[in-house]
Amino acid sequence: MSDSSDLKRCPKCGSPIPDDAPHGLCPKCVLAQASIPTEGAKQQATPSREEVAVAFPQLEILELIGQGGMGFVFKARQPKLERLVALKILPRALAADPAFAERFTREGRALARLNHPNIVAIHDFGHSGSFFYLLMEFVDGVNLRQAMRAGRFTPAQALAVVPKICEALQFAHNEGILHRDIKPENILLDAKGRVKIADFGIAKLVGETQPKTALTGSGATLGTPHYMAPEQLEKPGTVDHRADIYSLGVVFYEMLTGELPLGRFQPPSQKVEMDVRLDEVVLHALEKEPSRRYQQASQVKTAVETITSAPPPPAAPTPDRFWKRMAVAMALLCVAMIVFLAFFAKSFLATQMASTRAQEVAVPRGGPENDSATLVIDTGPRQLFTRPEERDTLFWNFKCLIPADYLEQLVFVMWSNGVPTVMPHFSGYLKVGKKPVVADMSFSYNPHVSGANFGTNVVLWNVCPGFSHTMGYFISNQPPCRVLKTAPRSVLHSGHQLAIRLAELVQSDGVASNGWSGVEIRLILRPLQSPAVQTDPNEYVYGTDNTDYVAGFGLDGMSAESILKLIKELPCETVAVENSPP
Amino acid sequence: MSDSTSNDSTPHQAARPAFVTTRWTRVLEARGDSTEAKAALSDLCAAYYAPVFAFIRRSAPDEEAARDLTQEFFARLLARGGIDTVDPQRGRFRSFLLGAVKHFLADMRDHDRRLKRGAGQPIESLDADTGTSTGLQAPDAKAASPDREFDHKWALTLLDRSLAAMAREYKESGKSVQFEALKPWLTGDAANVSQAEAARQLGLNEGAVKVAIHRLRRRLRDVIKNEISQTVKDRADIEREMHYLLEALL
Repeated sequence: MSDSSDLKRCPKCGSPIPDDAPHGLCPKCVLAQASIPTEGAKQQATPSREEVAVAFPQLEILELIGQGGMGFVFKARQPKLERLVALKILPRALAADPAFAERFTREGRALARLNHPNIVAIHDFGHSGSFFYLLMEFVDGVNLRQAMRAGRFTPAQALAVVPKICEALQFAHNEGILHRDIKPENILLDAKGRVKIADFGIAKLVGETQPKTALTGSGATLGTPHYMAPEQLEKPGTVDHRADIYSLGVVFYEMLTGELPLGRFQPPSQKVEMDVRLDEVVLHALEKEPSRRYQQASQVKTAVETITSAPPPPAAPTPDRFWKRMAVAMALLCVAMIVFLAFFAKSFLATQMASTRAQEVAVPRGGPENDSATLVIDTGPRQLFTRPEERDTLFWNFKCLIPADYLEQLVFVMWSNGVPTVMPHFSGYLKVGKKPVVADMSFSYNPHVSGANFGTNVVLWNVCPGFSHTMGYFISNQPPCRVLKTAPRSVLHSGHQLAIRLAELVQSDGVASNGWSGVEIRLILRPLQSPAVQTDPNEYVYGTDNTDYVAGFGLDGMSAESILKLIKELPCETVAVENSPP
Repeated sequence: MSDSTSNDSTPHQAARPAFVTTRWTRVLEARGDSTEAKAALSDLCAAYYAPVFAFIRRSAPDEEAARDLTQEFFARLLARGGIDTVDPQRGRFRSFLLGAVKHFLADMRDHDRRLKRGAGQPIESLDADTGTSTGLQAPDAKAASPDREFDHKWALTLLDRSLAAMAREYKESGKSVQFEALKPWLTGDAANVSQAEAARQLGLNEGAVKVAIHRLRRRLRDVIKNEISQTVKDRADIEREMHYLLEALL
């Protein structure tokens, strides 16, 4: 938890070794190493070059170039065609399964149909001697793992590779084929810098056939758990193409940062100098819940290309890195907020405790005569709990009364020199049904005090420690960001929007020459077009008849462009901030 | 360290035992209501004292009070057999213990909390001068949540127990020096540590060192899995628990 520099550091991962580390060894590296199965692949007898040569008389077998849970790969030459090929010999254990030959024939044909410039082509497959084999295009180059080890990767290079991987995945997914084992070892880069994905569908072919016991030992199914989507580990039967998108997210993260996104990992921009907008792409691909991820590989490609083609944010004369971090922290705040909103509105409906609050501000009802939400905002110390170290924590406190039959959208917007970027993945919405909702929320960067005072209950809710840490660290250590004071109360009318500016960049010369840079939440209030019912499996549904209110992440099915348009067009009140240019 | 762990884990043991009844399954089967189950629960509690203490420490005013509360917690837990409320399907001792300690703390603070709940607690508005606040301090911002700290400490405890068992095994077979020399490789292959140097020190050739390292790693994996198996219900949970604890350390 501490990072003071006089600590002993792990020679493997470079992180400080805590005082209570058993045997003075870096605990995470020990456990990481121990979690890798040691038996298995290596115990399989490697077929000798001679043995293989006998089985494939039409080929010149040159050398063994790879091996793993999925078999062995030999570099070979087809003399007649004067070309090099890669011969993949599948594990021998497969031959023991009488049903395998039929499946192999069926799936081999499908794989051989995958004809795409970014997919390693399969020339032939079959059974020869005692071997099941695939004859593949030989890629003269290195795999992504080797390239990363050689330290050749910059974020720009990663951004060149990812769209190619996406193209290959989208193509295969359209053909109904999943890769299931996307990892740096399977992504090849040839001498001309072309990207080729190898081993499409092999994991399934091999994995489903080998006896379970062998698999547990060999690590073929567990093979590369760090790249596998959570559902692949937990519910392997339910896996679909979105598992590949998760694995792509892991590879993307690793390419950018050199590390795996394990545990509560930080957004990539906090690890390396890079475009902060990519955080959202990476994090979105890495959503644990498949339905919250990108649904198509092509969407990842579009997102990456949109960013690479648009001018990079903060060109302002600023400590760039800090600003990126701040934006992410703010974005996480927004996520936390949605969770709170869901949670407390639920509490409201369950307990009807809001009546005490309603005395302070008349509860509005929907309809043209009273179509506004009342938003009460204050920042500052607020005593939710009595631990002394928590008293000075800065809060953003929101109390929001939203009328019945209204939709409130909370859109996270990052401004850079007057140019807004909507961050859909960090945004959320609330559709209110037949009863108005009172949501009373407090956020802070202190994980122990984010929570809410609600009715007569104090509820403490440690919702998002990652956010809290990031936030706390940067607010206290990075002066160029100014946390803004907001007005104590605002009214948000239907068809209007409210911009709540949370923080702004402090320009070095004190003048924002090119327009505002900062982060804000836009609240948009509109009448509901259709009843508040759950339309997405990931929406939170609460209320006595499950239609009292629905909350969800994202933009409620709208595109970022259409939200941007709304933001530009709807009448806007900016909640007062000090020293902020209009 | 209890007997069962060290007995079924000598360094060169040939056959691995099948998934035998573990302490936690024993507790669950008897629902805490047998001498055996009580002994098993007591063993487990003794082994995982540290995470509970770490968790309680977060809400106790000082070490002393935390220690007293921890003792009190275990005393109550063991006195009532402890697990009459646990759903045997739930399956993990770690989750059970965390749930129990939270419940315990909630009980202990009930009165206190009622006082804090008072309606109409005034909302202090922000002092006008601190609206823009470059000098703000975040006192506790980098601290982990209590739950996370519990898991973190749990993982460290597990590793500590496993490594201690390893050290003992190697000592018993007269290989302490080898264990000490090779244990840095338990973290994986670090580029800046020389196997040649270890080989020279141990009077072995490099091939033999490679093999010894391989065995050492495999053994640790087995020991850890065995240790975890004592706290979960299903064999299938072992791998998951290992990954969970790995995440807790990251």
